[in-house]
This record gives sequence, structure tokens and C-alpha cells, in this order.
Amino acid sequence: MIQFVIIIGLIYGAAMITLSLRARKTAKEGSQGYFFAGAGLGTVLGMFTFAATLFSAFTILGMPDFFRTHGVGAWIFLAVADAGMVFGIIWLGRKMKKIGTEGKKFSITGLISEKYGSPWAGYITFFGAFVFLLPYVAVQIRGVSIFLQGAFPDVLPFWAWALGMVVIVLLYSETGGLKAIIYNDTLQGVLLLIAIWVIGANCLSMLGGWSSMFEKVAQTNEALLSNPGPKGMFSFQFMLASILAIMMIPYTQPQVSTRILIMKDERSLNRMAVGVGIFAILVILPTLFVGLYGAVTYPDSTTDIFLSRALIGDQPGFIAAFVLIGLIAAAISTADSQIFALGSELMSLLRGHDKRLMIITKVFLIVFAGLAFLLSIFSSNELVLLARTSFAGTALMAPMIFLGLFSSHRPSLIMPFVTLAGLLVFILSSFPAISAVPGSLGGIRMDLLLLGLLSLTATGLYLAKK
Amino acid sequence: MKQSTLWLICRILAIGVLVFILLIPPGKSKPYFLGTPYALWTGLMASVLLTILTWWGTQIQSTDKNDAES
Repeated sequence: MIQFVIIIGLIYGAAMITLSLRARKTAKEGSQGYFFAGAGLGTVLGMFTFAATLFSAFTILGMPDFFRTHGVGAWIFLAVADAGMVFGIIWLGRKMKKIGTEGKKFSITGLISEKYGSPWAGYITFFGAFVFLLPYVAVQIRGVSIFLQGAFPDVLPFWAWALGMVVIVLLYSETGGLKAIIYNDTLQGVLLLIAIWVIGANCLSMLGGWSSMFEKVAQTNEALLSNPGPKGMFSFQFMLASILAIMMIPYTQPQVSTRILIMKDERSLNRMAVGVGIFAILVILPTLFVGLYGAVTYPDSTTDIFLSRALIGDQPGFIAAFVLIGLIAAAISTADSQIFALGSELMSLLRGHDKRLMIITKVFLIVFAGLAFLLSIFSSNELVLLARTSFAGTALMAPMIFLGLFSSHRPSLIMPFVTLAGLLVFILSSFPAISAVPGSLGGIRMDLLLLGLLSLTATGLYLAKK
Repeated sequence: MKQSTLWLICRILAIGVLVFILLIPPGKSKPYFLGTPYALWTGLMASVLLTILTWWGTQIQSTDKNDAES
């Protein structure tokens, strides 16, 4: 298999370098060209960069394990929520883009600072993005690194794989800016889709086809075929909170909101949204096959053993090599977008000469990448649940962002500070072992409760101003 | 029918699909459809329907824009 990995890896590496250099050559001068790719993104590139940013290592590694452990309800958790999210893009995302284009703002932090008329709103938005995105980046790098260490036990320790990925991300994003990332996202999006379909089709075939797959799962554990699943994961509250959190991603996660704000025009945005909806179905469906294959073949194995066997051990050498490179590509495409988004959001908060701002932000990109690497060494292995915490945490900023975007008058600054309090309570509730804040109150999940309270506050402030 | 009415119908349908899917009763795996358990085939239909509604929404908006421009 190692020969295949080297050949596919070399082709992939060469394509990445070529695209980064091409991006550097064609990029517009100045910070807008570097951080926002000239703000003229077309439909196809827009769709692939959006999809590659959204569907990451957690899709290839996390979702199969989620299907294996908790059953078919995982489809609703991610695929239905994503479909709802793309509908939201043509509803609220379209309005956000219009406001951003009018004010020439291409980052959510810059947009919110302007709408609230205070940098504090921007600082709090940046704080939320920083606190919840960095651990998410770290856990993806860690997940893939541990997987690679398992696949090649005597080659490199996992931290060296993690360091390698962080260095690759920095090299090409520092070289060509967001344009290089967008070009590489397109390459990685195609690679991710092919890799997961090849492996998914193989797993489906090993289970004897579509109907036979469910018959075999029913024989192993019938609870996997309905909600809330054998461990009760997909309760009504979990599903509601997850769907709401995922639907808020385009407005609250800067790597995604920037991609909406820099679309060329409304027509491109609309087409991109439909394309992402189709991509979501196509990329999640094969993870169902891999997951249910695991439920039948490796029902009691640990996550590491299941993934290394289902994705590598049980596959022909060429396919396994393709999956390995696809996994690295998936982790890189999400990590680069998130680290870079933190940089561009930070730049929106700074004032000064364009050239100086670019240098400062480029230095901070290295700092963010370094922090992501350090966190990847110490974070946990729960990919999907950590990703969900990231979505839920940033979703708490949605009421503040919507109030800022859609108020006809300048909204009250109370909202950003109430949101900050909400974010802090959510962070504390995520560590019930060391904090006094519970994970739920009166039988209601803390994330759902906080989102409800913040939404009520935003509605109250909106009506008061009106 | 007016574009604004069509867009309202489109949004109500999208919210309706999401509410329907959230209210799937616990433990319900029947009726099967083409060998697929209930929670999955309704989930698959919901994803496809929402994507179609997204496409329909973009058509309504572009018609709306064309009307405004003409």
C-alpha cells in the first residue's frame, strides 16, 4: 500500500503547490485580495470551498462511527440539518450578503462591529469564534494524525503527523492567501467525495446491497434502525439543538460566513447553496454505508480499531491509499479555512496601514496554527461531539448577529454583553466535573436553554427599539 | 400567484419538513420503504425535499428580481 500512498501523495502535493502558486500569481494586491480573494467568488469554486470547509475529517472519521454507534438517526442529525442550513442561506444568508456588499464588509466581525457601532461587538464575536473554532481545528488534526499513526505505526509519532499538517496549511495559506485555500478546497472537495464513495460503495457491496444492509443491522442491533438509537443519543432535544446549531453555521462560524460574503453576486450565492445541498447528500450517504458495515462487522470494537479496519484493513491497497490521502486533504481543508478565518476576523478588528495590518495578521496566523497544534496534542478523541460543541457554542452568537444585521436602527450594546455571558455559561457547563454550572436545567439542555434566552433577549431589544 | 406568496409557501413548507422530521416517534422503524427503515427514508426524503425547496426558492427570488427590474 505504501507505494500507492507515495504515488497518490506526490500527485496531490504537486497539484497543491501548482494551485497555490497560481493563486499567488492571480491574487489581487492588498489585504482584500489576500484575505478575501478579491470578493468575487463564482458558483463552482464557491460550492467546493464551502463544502470542503464544512465537511471535514469529522465527516469521514466521525460520521461512520456515529452511524455505527447510534444508528440511522445520524442522517437527520447531519444531512437534514445541512439541508435546512442551505435553505437558510437563500433566506437569511442572501440578506447578510446584501448588507455586507453594501457596507463593503467581508468578515462577520467587521460587519457586526459596524452594525452595533462599537468594536466591542466585534471583540465578542471574535472571542466566540476563537474559543470554539480552535479546539475544533485541533481535534480534527489530532483525529487524522492518530489515524495515520495507526496506519503506519513505525513511521512517525502522531505529533509529527500533526505538525506536518499544520506546516502544510501554513505554507500554502501564507503563500497565496484565501485564493490558494479556495483552489485547494476545490481539489480537496473532489478528493473527499471520490474517496468516501469508493469506500462506501465497497462497504455496501460487502453487506450484500441496500436492503440486505438493513436486514443484517436488524439482526445485530435493531435499535440502530430507529431514533433515539441504542444509547438514546438522538432525543428530541438533542436533535432540535443540533439542527438549530448547524443551521446557524453560515452566520456564526467566520470561515463559512466569509464564503457567503465574498460570493460574486446573488445568483452565484443561490446556485452555490443548491450545489452544497446536493454535495451534502452525496458526501454523507456513503458514511452511512461505512457506519452500518461497522455495526454488522465490528459492533463491539473500539473506534480506532473499527476505523482502521473498515477504512484501511478491509480495503484493497489502492483504495486504502486513496482514503489516507483523502483524509489528510479533508483535515487540511477544514483546518486551513478555520485558522485563516481567525486571521481575517482579527484583521477586521485592527486599524492602521494595510501593509502593516497584513504583516501583523500573517504573524497571528502562525500563532493560531501553533496553538491548534498544541491543542491537538492534548485534546480528546470525540470528533463528532466536539464538532457539535463547536457548532452549539458559536450558534449562541446567532441572536446577537441577527439583531445586528436585521435591525433598522442601531441595536443596543446590551446584546453583545449578554451573549458574552451566555458563551461563558456554556463553556462552564461543558465541564460539569470542574464547574458548578450543570449541563441541563429543569430538564432542558443548557445549549438549548441559552439559545432560547438569548433569542428572547434579542427579540425584546428589537421590539423595544422599534 | 404573487412571488411573495410563493416565497411564503416555500418557507412554510421548509419549516414544515423540519418540524415533521423532528417529531418522528421514538422506536419507530416501520413502515419500511424499499427495505429502508422509517427514520432513514423519511430523513432521506426530507433532505431531498429541502434541497428541492432551496432550488425552488432561488427560482422564486430570481423571478421576483426580474419583475422588479422590468
